This record gives sequence, structure tokens and C-alpha cells, in this order.
Amino acid sequence: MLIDLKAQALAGVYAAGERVLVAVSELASAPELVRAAKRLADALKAPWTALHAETRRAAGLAPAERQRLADTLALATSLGAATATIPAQSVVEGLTAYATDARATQIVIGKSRRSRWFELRHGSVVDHLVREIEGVAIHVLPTPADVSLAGSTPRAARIGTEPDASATQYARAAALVALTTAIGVLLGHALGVQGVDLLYLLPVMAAASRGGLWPGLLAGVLSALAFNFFFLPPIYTFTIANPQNAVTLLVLLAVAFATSQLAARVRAQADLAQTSARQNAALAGFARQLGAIATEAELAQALAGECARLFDAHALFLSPRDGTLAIVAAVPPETRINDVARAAAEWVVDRAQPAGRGSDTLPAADWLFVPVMAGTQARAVLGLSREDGRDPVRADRRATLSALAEQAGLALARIRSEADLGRVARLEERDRLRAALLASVGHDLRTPLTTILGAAREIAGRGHDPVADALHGETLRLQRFVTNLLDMARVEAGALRLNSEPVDLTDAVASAAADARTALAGHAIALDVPPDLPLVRADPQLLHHCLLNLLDNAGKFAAPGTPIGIRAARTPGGIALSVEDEGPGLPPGHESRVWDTFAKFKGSDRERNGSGLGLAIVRGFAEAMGFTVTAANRNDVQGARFTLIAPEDLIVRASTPARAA
Amino acid sequence: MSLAPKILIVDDEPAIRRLLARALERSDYRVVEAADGREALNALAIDKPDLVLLDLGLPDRDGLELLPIMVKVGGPAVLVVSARDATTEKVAALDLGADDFVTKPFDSEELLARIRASLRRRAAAANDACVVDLGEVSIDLVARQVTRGRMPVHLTPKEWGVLAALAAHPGRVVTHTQLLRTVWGTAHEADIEYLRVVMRALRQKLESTATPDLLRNEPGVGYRLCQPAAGPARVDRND
Repeated sequence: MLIDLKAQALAGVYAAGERVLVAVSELASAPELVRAAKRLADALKAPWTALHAETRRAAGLAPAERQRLADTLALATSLGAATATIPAQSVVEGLTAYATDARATQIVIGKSRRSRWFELRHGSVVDHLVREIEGVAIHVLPTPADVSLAGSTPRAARIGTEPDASATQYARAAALVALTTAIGVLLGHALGVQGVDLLYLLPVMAAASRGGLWPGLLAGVLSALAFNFFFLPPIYTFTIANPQNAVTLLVLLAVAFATSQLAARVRAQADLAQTSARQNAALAGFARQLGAIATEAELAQALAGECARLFDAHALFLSPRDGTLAIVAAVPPETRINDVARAAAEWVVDRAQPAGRGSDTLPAADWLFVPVMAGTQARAVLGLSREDGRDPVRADRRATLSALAEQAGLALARIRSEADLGRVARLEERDRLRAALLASVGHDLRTPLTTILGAAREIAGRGHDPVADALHGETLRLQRFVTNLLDMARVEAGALRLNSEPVDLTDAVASAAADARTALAGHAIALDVPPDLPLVRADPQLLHHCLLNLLDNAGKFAAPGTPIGIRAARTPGGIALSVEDEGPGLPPGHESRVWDTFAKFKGSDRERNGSGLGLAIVRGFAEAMGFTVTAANRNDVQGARFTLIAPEDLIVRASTPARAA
Repeated sequence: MSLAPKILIVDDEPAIRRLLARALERSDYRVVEAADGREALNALAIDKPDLVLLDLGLPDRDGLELLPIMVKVGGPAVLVVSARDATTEKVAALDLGADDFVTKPFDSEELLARIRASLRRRAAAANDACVVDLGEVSIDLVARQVTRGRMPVHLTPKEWGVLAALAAHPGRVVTHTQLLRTVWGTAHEADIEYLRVVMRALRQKLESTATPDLLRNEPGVGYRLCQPAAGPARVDRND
């Protein structure tokens, strides 16, 4: 599969083979490059990688620059890029090697802001790239000067490129030259002057490669002097008779210079590779450790322990609990923080940015706090400090700290989402149990009710016995009560299972009116449902119960002989379905209270027989379906109007299917 | 004059069985009782009832499993009785061929009315009914003609299909799925909007807007054909 893809990508016909590579540096303009690469990758629907080619320069970066580089790489990660840091001789070499390996098709780099002079000497990165890699589109973006300048900081002393040119190195250089001179004197008559000057290359190269530039130059100067003094006529003077010998001196110095540069470069490369390897090993080990962790407390302990070990510092893991930051893990365990430090830590959680010692915010504090991010939010804080009061994390190791915190953040996000899943499963189980319990209680109540109802009817049917009639009537009431109670329990327990489908309100109203006919005996039912009303998404059973309860309620309060109306109408906010009665109406100002559970308006006309649940059930069912309910007094005649409103999004668009007719 | 219809009561509650048996016997039906699925199948084979009152919550098996065994050509009409008021269960029972569905607690008068309607439908089916008289509206299943107040009503093929499917069993609930499958085919058995549109057209052609109770909607379950004067439809033999 992979081979296949590559082959097609080479053939240049497979668009899906696009791969974007963005070269990032410590410059302040780098985040802009990353965003540009993200836009390009999105447009191409291509995977993308942010690459940092770690050259000799990288070791000499100031702390702020290192931080910016780490931030840029983190930004790329958060935008969906893969990130890579590779040790390389030069940016061009690193980019070329990586682009070839990764089969990048698009490279995004910033316009170099180095001087013309520098580019004349070293060539521009762009020119090199264009020459070196074929078949790759190279996007060069201008870097805004102001950003770059504002962000530039004094270069720190180079670390690692030059070994300390100690006195020993200089002494060794001098000794080598002395030794060479001795050998030269011994072999002088055999070699001749021209042979001896070549001998002096050895001490110069040895001193330059072992000791660096200055011992090398010293060796070069000493060699030139010794050669002049001991071998060039006039011997035992520093006079140079022949101008050709001045050239010998210059060559020796040049060799010293070149050798020391070359050796230093190799050494720097080796140092960088070693440092990267150490950091990668530490990170990889930590990542493996995180994989096995299942709780936040374990994660906190692991992160604090790892940081304390790597940075030889005190470490804390703080997590927000009940509105404050609690210490979840501390290494050593008795470590505590004062209120000032705690305030800094809280700031870190709020802003999701590092604060404290060695950072931009509160740099004088004892502690350095970095956020542990899960997604875009800081979910916890990692704190580091040292007893001796030095910076807890050396500037050049801030990137390692960031990487550790980032990995911990990913693990934290995983742990939290696993916990959420578990909670959802438990909730679902609880809902299932509730629904099962209700079904069982419902069954157990209905079965004896059926028997009692049947028996009561039979006794009542035998003749006109007021006691038997009362028994039958009360049993019917009990039946309604039980039905209502079970319905209400289903609403309250959240055990309503919606079976929504497109419902024709004509159908719904007709069947409700037909079923309510007994309850509404003595009232005419006026139906007003426009025939062109669109269908509404609803659970037909719940809607039916809503309408039945509203009609039942209207039947209770409507004055005898008055009509009860059911109206449906298209309104600006959706479809309104109303049940209207000509009864005493609702207490003005408290109309909506009628929907509350057990609201029966003590002392008013509304206080009639009934469980006080009917309308609460209507509201519960309606809201479960996404409907809203309103209650109001009618303005045409005395009476109440109860309305169910189906919002726009529940209306089924009138797309009369051609096949329907 | 043949013997009175025989009814099999399948219910695990002795009190309910006693109650039903008394009500049925008073209405001159012959009654057989079964307390679980095994007894029900035995009674089905031995007593050959005309109608079964089947409780779905049986101790030894789900009543829904018994339905396909009971419902077959010439078999008894099955009236499902359940304490569970679940639409899905109703639909499942009707789709499996149950004739009607009654939810506990039920009124015994209403149950007797449903039993009478069921038995009448069964008798009518055996007699190849052709004209369904619904008062103002009359449906001739053979001539494929519908009249309202003696005036012919023009129906589209889909409208006729739905009405004919309902008229084949007047008073019996035909589920949405059954109607969609019969008229539109299995590929469309979930497209309930089609059915809603056709039902609305049928209502406009056959019912008066003020009292729409010829085509009765059973919320979430299906439709049935109903006589305007309440009560089951009368079926005439076409002879």
C-alpha cells in the first residue's frame, strides 16, 4: 500500500500524496509560518509536519528563544501537525534530508532576514533548497521585520560549541610545538628546511582539533616562530630573509584556524545529537510510563517524580478541586507552597501560560509553574523549585519540561475522557434500572386494578346500588390516578423513551377528540385544524397523552354545555396547538403556575377533583419532545387556553413526496 | 345455528382469568383457560378456540413468541392484552398478526365490544365480503369504487391502496409498516410521511372536517376504519 502510494506520488498523478513541511525556527515570526502551513495543509487536505532543523546555532539560543521555539512547536501540534526535530549540519541539509525521507511535496519557509553579506558567503536557504530538492513546491513567506526585531534578544554565550580553552590546552599546544621542534632539529639535516615546515602542521592540527581555535592559533604562531628561529636562515634570529617564509607562517595560521573550526563543528554536532538522544530517551520512557497510568493521582505522581529527577528540583502537581488548587502529588512528599506561589499557580490555570521563576510572569518567584493542558484548557499545574534558589529549570531544558507537560496533558485528557465514559455508562445503567423499575411497578399496579375494575363494573351492573356505583366510579378515578402517577414518575425519572416520527396534527387531534369523547360528554368539540398544516416531528403517543390530559382538564372546568375547542395554527415561531374552554379561567398573573406539579390554586375555582398532575404531565411530555407550553386566559370569552408549541426545527418541511400520491 | 364462539384466555393471573371467564360466560361465550404458554399451545391444539385473549407477560415465555404459532389461515383471532403500555410492543403484536390490542386496566364492556368486532371480522373474512358500508361512505372492494353520499369519489392509486388495505379488515388496526409495505413496497416501509400525506388526502375526500372519525388514527401504531356512529363497521355480503 505504502509502496504503491509512493510510486504514484513519484509519478506525480496522485493528489492525495501531498505532504506539507514547514521549517520552524526560534524567530518570532515562526508561529505565523506555522499558521500559513496549516492553511496550506487544510487547502490541500494534506498531512503536515513542523520541522526544526537543530544546527549548531540551536545550542547558542537564548532562553527566550528556546521558549519561543518550544511554543511554536506546541502551536503546530495543537493545529494538528506532526512535529520533528532533527540534528543537522545546516538548515538546508536537514530540510533536504527530511523532505526526501518524508516525501514532502510542499515546503513552507520564512524569507531569510540575514544580511546580504551573510547570504553571499553562505548562500540563501531558498536557493539551496530549490537546487537540492526536485519536484517540491517551495513557499517562501516574508517575515515581518517589526515582529522579528521586537522578539530578538541578545544571543547567549555559546554553549557546547567551544570547549573551555583552559591553560592545560595552551600548555599542551606549546609542548607539542616544542616536541616538533626537537624532532625537526634531530631530522633537520636529513629533511631540509622544506620538509620541516610540513612537520609543523601536526602540532597545529592536534592543538586546534583538541583545544579549539585559540590553542590552535597559539600553536600556529609558536610553530611559525620556532620554524623561523631554528630553521630559517638566518638561524637563531626572528628575521625573515625570504618572503616565501612569510607564506609558511600564514599557512600554518590558516591551518590552525580551519582545523579548529572544523573540529568545533563536529564536536557541536555530536553534543547536540547526544543531548537530543538523552532528551528523547527521557521523553520516550515517560511516555511509556504514562501509557500504563489509569488515574489522575498516578499521573500526578509520575510527572512530579520524573520532573524532580530530571531537573533535580522539588516538584508539585496541582489540580483544581472545589474552586481551589489542591496538591495532588509532591516530590518530596512534604513539599508545600505559600499563598503567593498558589496565586501564581492559579494564574497559570486561568491563562494556560507558564508563570514564576524563569518565565515572563512573576520571574522573581521561588517556583516555576507550567500548565498541563488537556485540549485548549489548563487542567492542572506543574510546579518546580530548588532549595538553593537557582532557576529550577535551566533555560536550555525548558523545551524538555514543555514536552513532559504536554505528554502529561495528553494522558490527563485520556484519563478524564475514560472517566467521563464510565460516568455516562453508570448514568445509562441507572436510567435503565429506573425505567425497568417503573415498568415493573406499572405492571404490578395495573394487574390488580384490572381485576378490581372488572369486579366493580360487574357489581354495579347488577342493579342500581349507590354503593356499587360509588365503588365503580372511585375505581375508575383510581385508575386515572395510577396512570397519571406512573406518567409523572416517568417524566421525573427521565425515563421517557421518545419514538418521534412525522405526525399529522389532523390525525393527532382527531384521535384525541375521539378518545376523550366520554370525558367530554355534554360538550361539543370544535376542531379547527387547517388542512395544509405541515407535519410535525413528535412522539405520537406522548402527544396523544398531552392532548387527552388537556381535553380532560378542559372537561373538568368548562361550564356545562359550552363547547371545547382544539385549534392548530401556523405561527411565526412554529405551530401552536391549543385547547380552549369556556370555564372560570386562570388567576391573572399566575397563569403559568398551572403547569406546576400539584398546582391546584387553593381557594379558586381551579380547585376541583383531580390529582393536580395532569397538566404537569402535559408539560413534562411536551418538553421531552422539544415543545413548549403556555397557559393564558382567552380574550374573546371567559375561559382558559392551553397551548403546545412545536418550534420551527420540529416542523417537517413540506416536501410532498411525489411517490406518496 | 352453530355453537357459541369459543374463547381461550391466556393469563397467569388467576383473578383476571376468573373475572374474564365470568364476563365472557355471561355473554354466552364458551371459555377455555390457560395459565402459561405451554397450556395455551395445548388448548390451541385441543380446543381449537375461535378467539384468544393473550396476555404478553407469561411466566414461561414471551407472549409475542406465541403469536406466529397462533395466527395462521383459519386460526383464531388473537386479541393481545398487556399491562405494558408500550407503543413498540403494540406495533410488534399487530405486525405479527394480532387482531387487536387492549391495555390493562381495561373496561370489561369495552373488551367485550372488541371481542364482538373481532369475531365479526373473522366471520366476514370467511364470507368474502365485497362491499364495506360505513354509513355515508361505501367501499366496493371488487369494483374498486368508493361513494360518499351516493356520489362516486375519485381516488389516486395510492389512496385507493391505503383505503382498500384498511377496508379489508374494517375496525382492525393496520400498522403503519403494514400499510406502507402493502401500498409502497418494502423499500418504503419507514417513509411514514408518504402515508401521512395520503391519509390527509383521504380525510379531505371522505370525512367532514368537523368530525373526522372515519379514518381513526392510533397514535404511533397505525390506522383503522371506523363507522362514524362509533362501534365497529358493518360488513355486507355481496350476494
